[in-house]
Amino acid sequence: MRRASCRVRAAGPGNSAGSHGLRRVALRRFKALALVALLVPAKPAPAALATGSVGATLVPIERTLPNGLRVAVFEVHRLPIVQIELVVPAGQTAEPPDEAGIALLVASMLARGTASRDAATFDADAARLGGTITVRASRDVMSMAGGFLSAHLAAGMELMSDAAVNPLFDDDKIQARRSLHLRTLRQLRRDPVSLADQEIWAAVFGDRPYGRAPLGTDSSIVSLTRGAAERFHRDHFRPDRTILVVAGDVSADSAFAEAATWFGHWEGHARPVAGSRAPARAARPRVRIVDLPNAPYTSVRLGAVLPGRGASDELPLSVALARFSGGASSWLQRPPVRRRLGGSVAGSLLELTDGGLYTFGATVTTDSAGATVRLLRDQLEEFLRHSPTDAEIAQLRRAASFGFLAPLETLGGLIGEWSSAASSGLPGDALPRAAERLAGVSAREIAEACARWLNPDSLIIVAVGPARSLEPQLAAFGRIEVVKVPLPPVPRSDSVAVTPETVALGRAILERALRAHGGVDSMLAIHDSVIDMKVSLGPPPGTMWGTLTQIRKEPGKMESVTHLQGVDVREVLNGEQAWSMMSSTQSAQDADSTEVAALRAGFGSDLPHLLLALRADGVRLAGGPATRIEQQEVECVEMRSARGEWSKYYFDAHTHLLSAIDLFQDAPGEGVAVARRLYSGYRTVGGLQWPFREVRLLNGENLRRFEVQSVKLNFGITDREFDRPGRMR
Amino acid sequence: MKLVQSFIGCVLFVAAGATQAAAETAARAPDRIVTVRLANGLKLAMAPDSLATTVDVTLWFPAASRDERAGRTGLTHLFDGLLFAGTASHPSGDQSRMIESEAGTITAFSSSDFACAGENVAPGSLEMALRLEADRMQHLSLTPETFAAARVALGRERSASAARSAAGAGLRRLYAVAFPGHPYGRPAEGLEGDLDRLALTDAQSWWNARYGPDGTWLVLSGAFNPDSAEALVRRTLGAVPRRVLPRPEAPAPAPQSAERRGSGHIASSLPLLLVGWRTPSVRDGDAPALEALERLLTHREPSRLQRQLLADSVGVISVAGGMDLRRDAGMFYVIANVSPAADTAQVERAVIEAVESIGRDAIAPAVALSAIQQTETETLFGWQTPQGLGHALGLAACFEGDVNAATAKFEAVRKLTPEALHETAARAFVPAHRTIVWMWPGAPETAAPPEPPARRTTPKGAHAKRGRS
Repeated sequence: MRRASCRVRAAGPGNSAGSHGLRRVALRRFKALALVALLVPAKPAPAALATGSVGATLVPIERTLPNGLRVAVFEVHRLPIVQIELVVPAGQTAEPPDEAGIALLVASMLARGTASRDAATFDADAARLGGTITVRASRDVMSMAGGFLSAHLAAGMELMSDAAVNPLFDDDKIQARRSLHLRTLRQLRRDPVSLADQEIWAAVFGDRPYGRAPLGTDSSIVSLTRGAAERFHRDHFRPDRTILVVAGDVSADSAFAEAATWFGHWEGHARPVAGSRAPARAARPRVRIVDLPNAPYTSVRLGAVLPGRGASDELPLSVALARFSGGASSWLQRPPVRRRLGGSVAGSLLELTDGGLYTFGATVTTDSAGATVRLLRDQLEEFLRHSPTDAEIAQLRRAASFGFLAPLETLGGLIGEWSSAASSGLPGDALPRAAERLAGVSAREIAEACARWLNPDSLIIVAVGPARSLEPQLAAFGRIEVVKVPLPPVPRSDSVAVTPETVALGRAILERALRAHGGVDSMLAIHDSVIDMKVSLGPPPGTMWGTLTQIRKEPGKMESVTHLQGVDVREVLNGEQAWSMMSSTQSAQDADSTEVAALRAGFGSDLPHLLLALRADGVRLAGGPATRIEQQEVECVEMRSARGEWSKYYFDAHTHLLSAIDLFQDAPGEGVAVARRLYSGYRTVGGLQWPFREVRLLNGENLRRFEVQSVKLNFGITDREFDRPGRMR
Repeated sequence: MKLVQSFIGCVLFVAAGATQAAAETAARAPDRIVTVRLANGLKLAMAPDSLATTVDVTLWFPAASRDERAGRTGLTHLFDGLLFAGTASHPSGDQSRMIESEAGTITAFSSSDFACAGENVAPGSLEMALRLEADRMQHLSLTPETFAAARVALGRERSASAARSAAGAGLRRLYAVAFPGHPYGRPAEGLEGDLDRLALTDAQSWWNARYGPDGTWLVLSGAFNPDSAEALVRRTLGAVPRRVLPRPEAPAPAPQSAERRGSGHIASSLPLLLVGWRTPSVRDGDAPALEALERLLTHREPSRLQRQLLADSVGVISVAGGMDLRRDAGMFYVIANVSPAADTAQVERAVIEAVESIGRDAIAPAVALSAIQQTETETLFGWQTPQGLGHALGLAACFEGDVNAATAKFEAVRKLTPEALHETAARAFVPAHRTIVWMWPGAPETAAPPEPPARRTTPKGAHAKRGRS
């Protein structure tokens, strides 16, 4: 079960995925006082925590349906609302080793349509109830949660039953989600902080399920098909190992009756899950350096394996670590430490079924990484030596109890805490037991638990940054393992041989494509256009969103207005001239030749110009063999222009619509792809098939994503639109 | 009516005379809301909850930016920071350290209609929280140093927010046009230039008149025994001397009877359209329906407004909206980022149609019921914690002088029908209540040319040739 909480640092992907088990111990209220280790004689524990009537609500009434579904009901008649949560042992630990990432993929598909409701109908039905349904995957479990008026208990449960038992796994959505996960994974690899959060799990747990990245790997994500999703769902979404928890203004009998009605027909047996037993400590190299040669800074983590849920040391450790790193008044936030490490220092405690992980660390300049590791280790050592006073211990108990009980005030908090304990195999009265234990935890218990699990000399260390600089700094801390960040696969860029056959094939593919898009005449009839788009930079969670408006007028005039992060940039190409203006300066700046070239390239980047460019004089086309892009069968046309531009166009083999373009550096013999653009979401605009979605990748990594909001053709744009102004209009 | 039976509904209001302590608290029972008026004018509302584990302590002061006199605006917002200036016995920072060391949290915020400060603490820390509040109410350190520091902080905050948000600048202009001559028309942080004019004596006068016990509500919700809590309150905040000073209140704004227009400039390359409809106040019988209408129009993703305005290729790039119900008036507003090439007249028509059509055409019953259910569900889920409930009670006390108003309003939401929503929309979303503001790209310091705004129109014949997405 979980402990008293500590609110800690921002999560990496491993920490943010789920509500169960993975929720970091929220030190939220626990900015408490003192504690620590040692040798203070244990005060007699209070007989019981004064949970009063709260204690009675912390133990549910339980029954098991004939199909094995465990149903737990908390009768909380305070307000006429109910919270329902289905907890399935279908987390990361249930994933087949070669299908890492499947849990997250399946979670993203649930409650997005079922066998009898398409996605829109499902959303509408949920909206009609005024409620919400969310699905999360964590390392141990997957949970589906819904909140409704108690009058809608039956309807809410029906909806959740449909979502859980009859999900719709749609090929297109799986492909889109898989692409998103792949791009997110690759983007995370560039970020030392996210990578450190992820790699500390790998360093501590190795190839056990807890050690895997929740998103999966490049190869595993690519292999995740609809069949894999259906198989994972079929193997694990079964009643016999699932827990259904209902809390709120409902009688246990009626909740059991509804559960039997909507989940009683659910059949089958779940596939057993092997679990993720924590490794013997110190069995692995102590220091893992993840080499990011060009990282501007280094992120370090120190980690320790902790016991799993329900262990006797669990709660004393959580109390100690809350004090050490759990908030603004914690040990690590004291002025002397903050002065040296800045605001990035933080800790995180996650307690799971088969073991916990405590990490703390900071993000610093690379040349201070070694000193930072030493400082953090020394701080833990000093903390463990510190003897708290009786008053500090008393205050710590109060804060620990408060920090534990406060989140239970909401139905969601109550269910989350209880089901987290229950799915780890703890008894139904785990919550009041934990509350009592926290209120009576002694200095001796804390000291002994710390001594067993927190040895500063055996902490696992992860540093993400330039290995060349880090290795000498970290050599003193133990055996070093250097890990290279896997590079994303680069599209093949072999040149297509130019023969009469390939030239003819290229032309044939192009003609089919031009017809499919609406014909050359329709494209040539466009005199001006206005395209409004949403644009995003980078994957979640750090995605920046903005808007982009492109106004084009033939020949060669374009105005591009970008609004991003509160800053507007207006760039204008007017024939051979170009200028730009930012909202912050309000004055126009003339563009240099590079910027003019970039704007010209931008002018030619809309669909008609991209396709018509293939018909331009001096362009050599060659048709290549059919291939696959993003799991899509495509025909390929290679284009080389008289100016040396080299690219490959890929058209859907069935619709003949543009799917992708690879833009290459002209480096004969190497053929390295530098940029890929993916097109999808086609709609009809002015008789043309126009892609409303474009993703731009560089060496496989997501750079930008465009979502077209509207396209207006032949709008009547005047030349004045492109005049260089004295000030903005 | 489960709610009424069990938790909030049994409100026993005992507005007894100031000196009748025993009578004041008669008929009180646990898990019910009790209100008591103390001798020094402090009004106490207690909502004990035997299932709670925290106690929420909030003071709701009769300090409202709308009551600030001309030339001295921004005082209420200034006190959001000044409240933490400390006292002789608890210097600045002491209060937050003491509360946070017991795992509690502190808060302070203000609006055009009230100011609020308080703590969320463990039951055992209730006395400490009340003693700290009483100490602050009597001995806040209003010195030239603390005043200057708060003024500098407010100035910095104002500059940052002005630089950050084009939408914020647009909303300020929208309110200025919609509420001409009324304090609702000026920003809560005060008017440009007023901050420099504020003197320490202004702050002291404002503090003495508005942040004393008289006219202030103390709301306690959560895990406490009402008898002992009341005794604690009497010993702490109840012992703060009464200070009855004039507290002039701004009159309600005059009704709007014709469309208004305005414009301004923002540091953005995209024009911004804001359309607001003046609505009745939060105290009006239409308020529950207005809250449901807000959900109907703006909640979930994509919202009804987004579906109508983004999918229709009218030139709207992004759109958001909200309902702002205040003590004496309200406003439903829509903010749209507009393509530079858009036909502004067409965009205006589309935005207006998206809102006013729900008052003119029938709302699908399923859609209306969904909005009503959402309002009901979200309200109840928000009341799960003492903090959420305390906030609702405090707002009701400030707006209506009666904590019961929170439950009464909720009951009104439950009784709403699709027809009621339609009728409310028909009354509220009409041209006579409409205010239209265009914010054009340009230097903000040259802002606010008088209406009507310059319009960009689509060239003749262009509509027929436009592609549809």
